[in-house]
Amino acid sequence: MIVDSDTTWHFACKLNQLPLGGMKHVRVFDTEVLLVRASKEDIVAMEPWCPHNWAPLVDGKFNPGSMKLTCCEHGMQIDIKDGEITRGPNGGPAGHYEKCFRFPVKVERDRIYVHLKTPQEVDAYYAQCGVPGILGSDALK
Amino acid sequence: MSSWIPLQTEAEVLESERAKEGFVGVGDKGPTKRYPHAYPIPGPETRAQRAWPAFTYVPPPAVIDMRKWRFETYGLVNNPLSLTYEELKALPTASSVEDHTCDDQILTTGHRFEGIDFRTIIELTQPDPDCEWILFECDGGHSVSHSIHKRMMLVYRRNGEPIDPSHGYPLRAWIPGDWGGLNPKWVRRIKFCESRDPDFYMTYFRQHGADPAILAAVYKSHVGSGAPIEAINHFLGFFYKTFWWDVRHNPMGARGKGIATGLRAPMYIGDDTWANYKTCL
Ligand code: FES
Repeated sequence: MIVDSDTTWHFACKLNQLPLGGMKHVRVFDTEVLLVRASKEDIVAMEPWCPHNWAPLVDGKFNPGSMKLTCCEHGMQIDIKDGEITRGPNGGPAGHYEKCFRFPVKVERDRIYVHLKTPQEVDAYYAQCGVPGILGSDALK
Repeated sequence: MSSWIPLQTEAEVLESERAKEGFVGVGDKGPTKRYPHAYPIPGPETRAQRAWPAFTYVPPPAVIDMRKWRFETYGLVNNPLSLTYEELKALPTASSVEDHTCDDQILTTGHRFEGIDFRTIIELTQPDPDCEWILFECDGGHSVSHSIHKRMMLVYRRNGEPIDPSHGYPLRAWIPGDWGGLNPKWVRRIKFCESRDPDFYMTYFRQHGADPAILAAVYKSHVGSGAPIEAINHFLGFFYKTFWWDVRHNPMGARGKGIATGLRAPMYIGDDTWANYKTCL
């Protein structure tokens, strides 16, 4: 997933297509994103695949009261406030799972926009993993 | 919006629509012109082959659950649709007899496609006036972007039979006069975009260093457009170097990159229309 764009805010969908307390799996620029609407103003955009085994999170259950999302496949629980995993798959420990990535969101007029990772941000992530990034490679030349 | 994304103005799109005239069918009257075979092979200039081959470079969906299947529109629309297959088939039908030219210049003729004219979808879903581009999103992760001003059709029957699994059952798009590769199969949703969202091939080739000029030439060429076969051949060369290299020489197929050649048709749940289908992808 590499965003190669002059702008990093990309149109996702209209506000009224995302029901209160609901989720929507959308395509934003070249990336797939899960939008979750916990309350009227509170919209979260995150990776749409479960960090355990990549089940589509949109098929899971979202509880707007506790802000917890439960995966349909093995019941991993994600706190969408910060992307923290609060329960592992099949009720197991959550400890060794990374946080779910959340994208910044903004609403303008009645449209929802998502801020995707820039190539620089992708490279910074790879650098922190000690892996060569993309900007020095053949890609994006 | 990024400078590498192929863009066309409405006027340019309408002009290429006019240039397609004769090569595309109008209702049950098939095309009156035939696109010449692009490869310098001996024999008649136009070679139509009988069987309609099915190619797919993006993996087909493994399973399509027809109990949950909905055709959806979203994005810059005032009335997002969510229709079951039955509801979709109940919409006014359109039909058209067409020739089909695949990216590899294989010509087949006399397809009688039945489905829904894209204008019907536009009337129902009411896109905002500033919407210029749409994105077909398919089961299995493929996506194809087109201008909203093109003549397009959503097809569910061909020659009186439901369209078969290797050609996109339950629903595929048909853009008359465009190369086969830009007609996505297993269409599930349409996003109405604010600007042109890059589709699967654009993203893939961009990441592999494709020249934006060639990308643009390919995305705006079509069956009646005359010259740009050089651009297409150039692009195909690039395609075989990058895409097929992954497919053949990467130990994962090209699966690690999200790409594989599809060797089997999807399995359908809750629908036995094609229960005994022998896959031929
Ligand atoms: S895939 Fe989500 S819990 Fe296993």
